[in-house]
Amino acid sequence: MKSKCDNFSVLITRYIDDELDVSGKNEVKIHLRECSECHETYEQETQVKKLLRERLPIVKAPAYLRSRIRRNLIRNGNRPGFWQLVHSLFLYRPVTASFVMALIAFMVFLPTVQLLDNPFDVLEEQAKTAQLKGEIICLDCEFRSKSGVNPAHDPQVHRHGLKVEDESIWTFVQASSNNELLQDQKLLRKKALVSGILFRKSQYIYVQEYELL
Amino acid sequence: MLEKQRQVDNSTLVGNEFQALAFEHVDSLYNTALRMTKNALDAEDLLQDVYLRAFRFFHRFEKGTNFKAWIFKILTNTYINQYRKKINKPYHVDLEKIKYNYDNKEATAQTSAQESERLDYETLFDDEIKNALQQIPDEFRVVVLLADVESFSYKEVAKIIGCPIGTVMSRLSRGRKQLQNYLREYARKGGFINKIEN
Repeated sequence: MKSKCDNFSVLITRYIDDELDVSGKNEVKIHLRECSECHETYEQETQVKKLLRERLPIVKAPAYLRSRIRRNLIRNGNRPGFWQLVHSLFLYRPVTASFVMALIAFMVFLPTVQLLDNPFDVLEEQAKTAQLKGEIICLDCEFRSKSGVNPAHDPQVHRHGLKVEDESIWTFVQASSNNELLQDQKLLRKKALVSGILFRKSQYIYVQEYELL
Repeated sequence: MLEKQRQVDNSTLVGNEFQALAFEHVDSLYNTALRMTKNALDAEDLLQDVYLRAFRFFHRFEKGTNFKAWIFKILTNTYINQYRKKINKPYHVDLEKIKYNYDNKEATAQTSAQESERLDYETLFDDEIKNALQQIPDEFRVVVLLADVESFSYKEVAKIIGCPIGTVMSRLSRGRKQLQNYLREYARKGGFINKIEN
């Protein structure tokens, strides 16, 4: 009997708050008629609920608090974050916002895809294909003689380059296509017309063709 | 320039809509905050935080759903996350011990109810009801406030505090019983004083 009443404790609470279905209500109603103890619990709990609802002192939020909140909202709240801004744009101008977002996505997307597709294309645009006319020289010997050291040519280590008529010196990019140009000692001191891709800033040339003059 | 003007218009539009909705509940929120924090200064701070948060997250509010429940959820979360931590920190509370004490009190409440001693709640002062509410533990008080004072349904309370409905029911049941104990004590004292005065 006692444990049965324990079970009714929460049921009575639900009954008071009208949060039971019809069969549950009936069950509680019948039990309350039979059990004076639970009926007392019911009366008391109803009383408490009523007191809370009717007699708990209610105050109005002070006027200064209201204005402080409003001021606070203007100062700190009216700076919507990026996503909030995007959201409100979508809310009030959905068509425009979609267009803008699509455009931004497209602008970000396109160069990325290009770069992934063929990175060399981008580099090639900066580097120009051109022809250079000059003398094939040994770069190491050239630099050493300039700084006053007597050059002793070492064909194993020294690299070849091109000295153009305007005195600028170009380094050959190491590639299988121009092994001859890089290593063959017979070519030293000879005039040549070299065509390839120029990297002007670093003065490198990627040789595609050359012709001795 | 025109675009910028439009953005400002949009944000004030959101602001006005928000303020119209939110200030409708300012008194309810303030009273609940008062009962939660138990003092006016903390309640004011809490309310300012709640409004700022609610405004910042207003874009997440689903139009057409219950705004009062939504902003009360923010109130409850903010209170639990910030204020309760702050308030409880200096004290070490032995939860087991408290639970034991309250369970004991509930037991005595039932036996004294058996004595069929009808208490005259009319002798209670309104402030005593407030005081009784302040005595019961937080998790019970919040549920009692939401269900009995603010008249939220069980389902709404469950959503607001993020608990299953079963938890809401048992907390409400136990919360009211604990409240009843304190009220009984006050009423008894009041009745005693009345007798002397008569």
